[in-house]
Amino acid sequence: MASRTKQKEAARAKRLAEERARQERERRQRRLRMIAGVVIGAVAVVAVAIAISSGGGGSHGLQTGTKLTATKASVNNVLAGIPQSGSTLGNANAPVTVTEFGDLQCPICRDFALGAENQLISNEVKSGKVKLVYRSLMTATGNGPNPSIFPTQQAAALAAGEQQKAWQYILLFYHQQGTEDTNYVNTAYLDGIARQVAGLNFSKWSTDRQSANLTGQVTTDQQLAASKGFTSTPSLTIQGPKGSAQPIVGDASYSSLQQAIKSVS
Amino acid sequence: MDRRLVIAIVVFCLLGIADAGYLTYVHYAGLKVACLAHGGCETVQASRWSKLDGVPVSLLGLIGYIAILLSLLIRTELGRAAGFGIALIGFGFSMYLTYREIFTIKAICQWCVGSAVFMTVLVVLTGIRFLRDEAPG
Repeated sequence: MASRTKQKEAARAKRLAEERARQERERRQRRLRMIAGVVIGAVAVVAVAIAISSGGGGSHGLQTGTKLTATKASVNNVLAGIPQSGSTLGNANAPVTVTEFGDLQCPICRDFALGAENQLISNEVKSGKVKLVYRSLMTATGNGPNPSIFPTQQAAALAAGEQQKAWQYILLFYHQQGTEDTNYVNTAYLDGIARQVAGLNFSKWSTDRQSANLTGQVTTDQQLAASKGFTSTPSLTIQGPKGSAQPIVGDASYSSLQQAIKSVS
Repeated sequence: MDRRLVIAIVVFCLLGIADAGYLTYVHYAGLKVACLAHGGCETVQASRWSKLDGVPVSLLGLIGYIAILLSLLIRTELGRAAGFGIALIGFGFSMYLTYREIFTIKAICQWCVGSAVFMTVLVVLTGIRFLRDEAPG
């Protein structure tokens, strides 16, 4: 009798041990699946993020067709009726001067040009309160495969300025900026932008853009930027009757621009 | 042991939040980044790698650190898995960005290096916490 009870207990203990071992195995397998799931999921998310980051954003060079028509209409619309002189946009007697140091290949400058700057031009510049000056500071172009194109590319915009159309050139360039590091800026690209500027005398522009005066202006701008300690684009100075505001760096918001303008008005 | 790990994770998340929070603030306020190395931070912040599809990567980092912190509130295996998964994503992307800084932008931003270090520590800490095979009960 006692032996049967012992046998039963032993069998029960064995069953329980087996059950525990099975549960432990299942638990380990579940954990392994969970770890693998987390790692695979994380790797997938990082891969997608890298693909988006490496793919570059925005446009890929000169536009055509309806896209180009829309871009030209947008640029002409924002600049309509605003006087220009050289690289200065707006009323020459405007009380506040905003100077932008930019690089036409810099994607943050593009973001700024198509965002807050677009609003600034449509409102404060159009109303005559602010004049906007474009100056050159090499950043993205310098990090790219062909930094020596910088004076040529910036002088192309200044040459359009000889016909009071610098800002058409600048904004059309930003709208159709290619992917950083892809060496897309060449004569065909610069000519292509010039041909999109309504009313630009192309042959005069072609001659002007070779002028040593204009490439010299690019060098002067860079020296001015260096003297102000600017190393990044866009960098903005804001000057008005009450003095100078703290410089603004990067893709600033429209409200921070307005605040800075207010502080010097 | 778990308590000490949690405290260490909280500390590094707070450091990360301060770092990424500062860069996010500077980005939206249009201010100059305070930088030890000459000009490196501005060059990095002005490059296209400072944004992922239009969103500043500093903001993504900030969200990541907050998410790891919040994952500590879920006191189950799922919470530990989530913390580790987010840290692993942050770590992987930080490594990619550091590679871009060194080889493409050729400028170093100490705020970004700091964040990469915090993320690396966090992936180790959350990894230990998640992978330690704690039997239930």
